[in-house]
Amino acid sequence: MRMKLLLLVTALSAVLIGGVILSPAAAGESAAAAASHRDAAVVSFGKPVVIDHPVNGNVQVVLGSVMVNSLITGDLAVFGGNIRFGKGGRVTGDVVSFGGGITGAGAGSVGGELIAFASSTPRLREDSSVGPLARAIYEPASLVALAIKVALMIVWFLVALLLAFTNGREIRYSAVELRVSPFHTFALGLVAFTSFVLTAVLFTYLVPFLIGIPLLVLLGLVAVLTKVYGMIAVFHLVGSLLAGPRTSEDVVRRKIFRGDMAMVLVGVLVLGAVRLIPIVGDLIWIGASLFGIGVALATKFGRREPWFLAWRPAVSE
Amino acid sequence: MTRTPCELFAENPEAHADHAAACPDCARLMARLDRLDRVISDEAVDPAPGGSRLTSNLPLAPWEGANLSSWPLAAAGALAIVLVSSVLFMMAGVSPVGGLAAAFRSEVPGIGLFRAASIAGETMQQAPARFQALLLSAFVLVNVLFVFLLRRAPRGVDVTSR
Repeated sequence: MRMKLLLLVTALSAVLIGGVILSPAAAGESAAAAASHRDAAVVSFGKPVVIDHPVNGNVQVVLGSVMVNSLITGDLAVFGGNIRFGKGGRVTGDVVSFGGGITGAGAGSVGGELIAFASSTPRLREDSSVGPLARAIYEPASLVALAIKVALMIVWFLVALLLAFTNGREIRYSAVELRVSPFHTFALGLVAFTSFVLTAVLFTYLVPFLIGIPLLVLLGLVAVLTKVYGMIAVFHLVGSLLAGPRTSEDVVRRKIFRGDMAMVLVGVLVLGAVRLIPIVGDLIWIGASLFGIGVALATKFGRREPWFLAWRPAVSE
Repeated sequence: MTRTPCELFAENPEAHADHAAACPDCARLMARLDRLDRVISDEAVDPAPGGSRLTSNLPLAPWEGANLSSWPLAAAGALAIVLVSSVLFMMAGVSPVGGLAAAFRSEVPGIGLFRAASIAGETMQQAPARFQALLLSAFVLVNVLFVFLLRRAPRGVDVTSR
């Protein structure tokens, strides 16, 4: 009971901390005033920016959205906010979007490259040789965007298949842990995700000194591996709950829906299909990712070994 | 040391079969053993699918049948995904091969990631002092919580046979 209370407090703290960090009010004063009447480079923290007049320089916004109604002669970078293109909005350089969406843009709105991470916008180049694919960048609800989402399911499917085949036991351990301690794994996932984001932000300070790049790459690798492994454990759990055998008789009688591999694959197909539902699907996927990150770390990738060795004083004979 | 007729019967019931008729205690013992034999032989001859009637009523352990692979499901699932996405690409006027290739390429982080990191670094250098202090304290607090949560041992039990 005490432990559950502690976990509840922990989860709430993590949510609060995340909220405080990500809330625009907490981000403090903007380094530059609202950009509507300026024509030089714009840097803003925690405030929405409206570009109503041409800007000759880069526009960099952290934790705020940008409305582009005029020409930006330079790059546009937005971290933790949406980019909206109005009539006449255009960026001659690159557009970098991290953790937000891009709406309202048409062909020719971005002169350079579109670089989007952790974003609802697919990372496709506007000048893609496959023509209509460019629509997916600006119309996330279009048929081609849906086709891309389905196509990307094959990546999850193949990775899940490989991992279930090679590390079925570890995946199963993690799925069992997820079933036994859902609250702890979710709290851990939430805190771990917040930690990854904050660490990445701190590492970006080091980018000008070069050491930041390998550190960011390493952090990204760890984060991706954790998420991929954890999601496969979630797939296993979903598959077991929906299509798993209930008795030993079931195991013998069934020819297909039995074993770790089948459970993982059923989970991929079900969660992959749910993900295609607008908004709700994305929210469910994000929730599953948090559970996954949590269970991957809670079980040390299914190895069930402690992360930290307990210190004990030496006992003399 | 002489042995009693009951002991001799217990040692070799078939050789002393007439003793059971004369001794009610040995007759009862014999009847119980016969019943046990019948139960065991019933279980051996007519097991329920998947094991005996007793074991089939037990809850399924997570490891039971876990190492069985379902390659038909893997093949059918992969084919279904490729087919559905190909149909959607064709309906959208995009070549399925080009669409699939572009979708996979889009998931590979390229040089753009470094460009984004570089721009983020430049931006963070210009952040107000209050923002930076808040960031640092949040970093410390969240990571203390992180370490605290990582200290808990896993609870799930899967007594594996493999």
